[in-house]
Amino acid sequence: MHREVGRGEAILEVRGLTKIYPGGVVALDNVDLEFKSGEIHAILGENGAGKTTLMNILFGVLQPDRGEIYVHGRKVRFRSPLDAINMGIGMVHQQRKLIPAHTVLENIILGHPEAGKILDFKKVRRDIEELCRKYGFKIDLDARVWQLSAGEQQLVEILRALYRGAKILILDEPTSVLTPLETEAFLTSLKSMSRQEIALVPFVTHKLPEVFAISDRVTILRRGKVVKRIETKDATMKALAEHMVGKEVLFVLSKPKVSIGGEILKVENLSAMNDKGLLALKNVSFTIREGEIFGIAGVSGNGQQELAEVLAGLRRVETGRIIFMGRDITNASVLERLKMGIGYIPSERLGVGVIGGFSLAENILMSLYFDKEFVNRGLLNYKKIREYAEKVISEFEVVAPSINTKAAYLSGGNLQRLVLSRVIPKTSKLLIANLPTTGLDIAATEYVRKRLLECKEKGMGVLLISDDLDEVLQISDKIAPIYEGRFVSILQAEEAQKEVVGAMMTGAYSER
Amino acid sequence: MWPFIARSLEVATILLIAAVGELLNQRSGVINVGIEGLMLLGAAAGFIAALFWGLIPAFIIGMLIGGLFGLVHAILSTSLKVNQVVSGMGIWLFAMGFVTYWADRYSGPLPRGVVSPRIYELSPMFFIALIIVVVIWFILSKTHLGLKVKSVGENPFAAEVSGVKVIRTRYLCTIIGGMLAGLAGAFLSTTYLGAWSHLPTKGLGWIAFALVMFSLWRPLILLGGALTFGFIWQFAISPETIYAGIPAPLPLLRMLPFVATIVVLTIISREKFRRKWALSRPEALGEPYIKE
Repeated sequence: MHREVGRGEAILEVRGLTKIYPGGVVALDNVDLEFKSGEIHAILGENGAGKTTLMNILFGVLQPDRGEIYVHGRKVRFRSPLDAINMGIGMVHQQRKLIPAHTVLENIILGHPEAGKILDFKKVRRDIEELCRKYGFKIDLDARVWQLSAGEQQLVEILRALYRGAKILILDEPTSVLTPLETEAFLTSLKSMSRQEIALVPFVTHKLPEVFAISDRVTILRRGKVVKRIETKDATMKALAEHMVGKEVLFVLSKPKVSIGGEILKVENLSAMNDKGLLALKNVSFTIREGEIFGIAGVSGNGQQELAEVLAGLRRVETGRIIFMGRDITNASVLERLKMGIGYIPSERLGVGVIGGFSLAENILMSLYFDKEFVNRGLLNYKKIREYAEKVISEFEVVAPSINTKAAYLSGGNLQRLVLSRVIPKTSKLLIANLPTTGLDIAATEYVRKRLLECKEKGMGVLLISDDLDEVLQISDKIAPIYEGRFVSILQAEEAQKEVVGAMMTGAYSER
Repeated sequence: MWPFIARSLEVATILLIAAVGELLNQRSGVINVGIEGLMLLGAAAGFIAALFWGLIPAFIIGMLIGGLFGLVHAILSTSLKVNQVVSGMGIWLFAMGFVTYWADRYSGPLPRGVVSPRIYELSPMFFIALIIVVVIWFILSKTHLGLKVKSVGENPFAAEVSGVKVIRTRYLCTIIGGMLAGLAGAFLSTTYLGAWSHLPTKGLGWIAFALVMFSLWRPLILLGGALTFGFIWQFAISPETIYAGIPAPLPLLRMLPFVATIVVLTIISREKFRRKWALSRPEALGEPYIKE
């Protein structure tokens, strides 16, 4: 898989880059880096390692406090992204910076000096088509961006950068939202670009294996410092992960042996609409038993969100029934479900999971306010609430100055711990976990998965919805690939093969 | 019959000029609910200028004062990131008070000397309005500037990384929107009415605002809407020219344009249109651009 490391010309160099935020947080500490043409140079780091700051400096969004940037050996200063673009630096954002209502073509030419005052669509179309041919990209230039898949949208961002004459592409978490098939296509296109002497710089927190397969060189950041530089052919994945985290990492969690008990949840022919009023969940049936993790694997937007919300009581059921512990709860309110022991970990941590402007204690209170132990005739017993909050926060290892800290100040991993500390202790039967590890770094991801396995050990049923196929395969007992609102199949974990499930969740396979 | 149609087309002219400015404004992501106020200011400034200097200065000064308050709205909503609806409402309220105080002392018709030229009883401004609409349509759909305007209204963050100057673009559109509203006001007071009476816009600005919404932000649909509402407005004022001895009482008829607005807005809020509407609506409309 590894090519000889191309000893190309250095396109971009940074020396002694330092960035200190107001409040004294050192985001980058004396970072030296060099990016060469035709080389894939991955930057690895956990959340908070300084990756985002580094990316923003390289693209001119932020200015460093100290240190120099050189492009082709010439010292430069970027005052805005436009300066960086004009110096041949392209950026492919994780949160896509595209205009959904516009066509692919319009997105690519926006702001391009050569597009002319009156747009010459014929000429730019020819240019972009030629660019596509050169790199072997296939995309419909007249499609509107909102109609495209995540992978195609990424391609639009890449094309936009290349059309602007980028010689170096910074890719933020490039494979995180791609399906397995798209990932493969993406890796191929990276190679074809690197053959054209373009320097590629993927920034990665998750999805180590892909990076490992493709990069020539890896630099690892931790707490704003470069802790390791290594050629990929000399590295192992485990070693890379350990350098990132700074401690030993278990890649494989052992699934506890738990005897599967009685039926907790039974879902019959469930259908639901999405926010646009279209049928998003179609005739889904399954059961979850005590001590079982039921994993739903799929690309986001295939009805998972709707399923989670229907089960949590947040969305109306169109047809079908939900039976919980033998009782029909199809139309039960959220509060009734909470009291029955159903816990819900929403995919939007800030906003649905917790209220940012509330303190940790107040957030925890939100799952207690109906509990007689903490409320007496409508009056809150703050002493007990504080005690309880202190207890669960330490139990779930939420790192925060105090229980009075506002939740909005917590980082991704801590925020999710706070959500877990709210939900899990109050859940006795069924836990619905929607994208519980998306966007978390390795350490936090591992933590969340362990907690889910603990719930299983205690005999709860867990519904795990995830777009990370490896995660679903690793900790579930049963696996249902979901595609366009339907379960393609329901497989026992032992018999589920990654390739098959991957094909099922992208519609490339149907069981007939 | 023709005098009635000519008068309707003049009402359409007022609606069209004001609404197409608001459309441009909204396409860049800035909503200006103060359009009625901008028209009032333009109407007052234009009327007073017409008294002293004549018609052409009236239009220019109406435009300038509209542009000035467009600039105020731009500063408030784009730079100071005030809620755009609050800022627009503020401008409207200010205009109602200020214009009453400033212009009501000039109540009455313009002197004989200051009369708009008319081609077959129709002001040439109607054709200028058509030209303005076509120019704005052309800019929005065929030029790079138009693409930048639309991108800023859809997703300013995406526009920024493509090197588009978000703040500058929004200022430009908000000021032009204000200028056109001011021009519409000046045309209303000096040409269509030819006289000053207390708060002469009488809700035309709000109808123009609603027209933008149900044009799905497209200038050519807006043209059709403005013509229709120009007709309804004029009919409500002088129904006898169309239908002598109409049995409905006049005050009831005066409500017609507003009832029609509510009916149309209700129709386009229906499920069937809602999706189309949601797709056409500039995604970042009303949202201040705050860099992270």
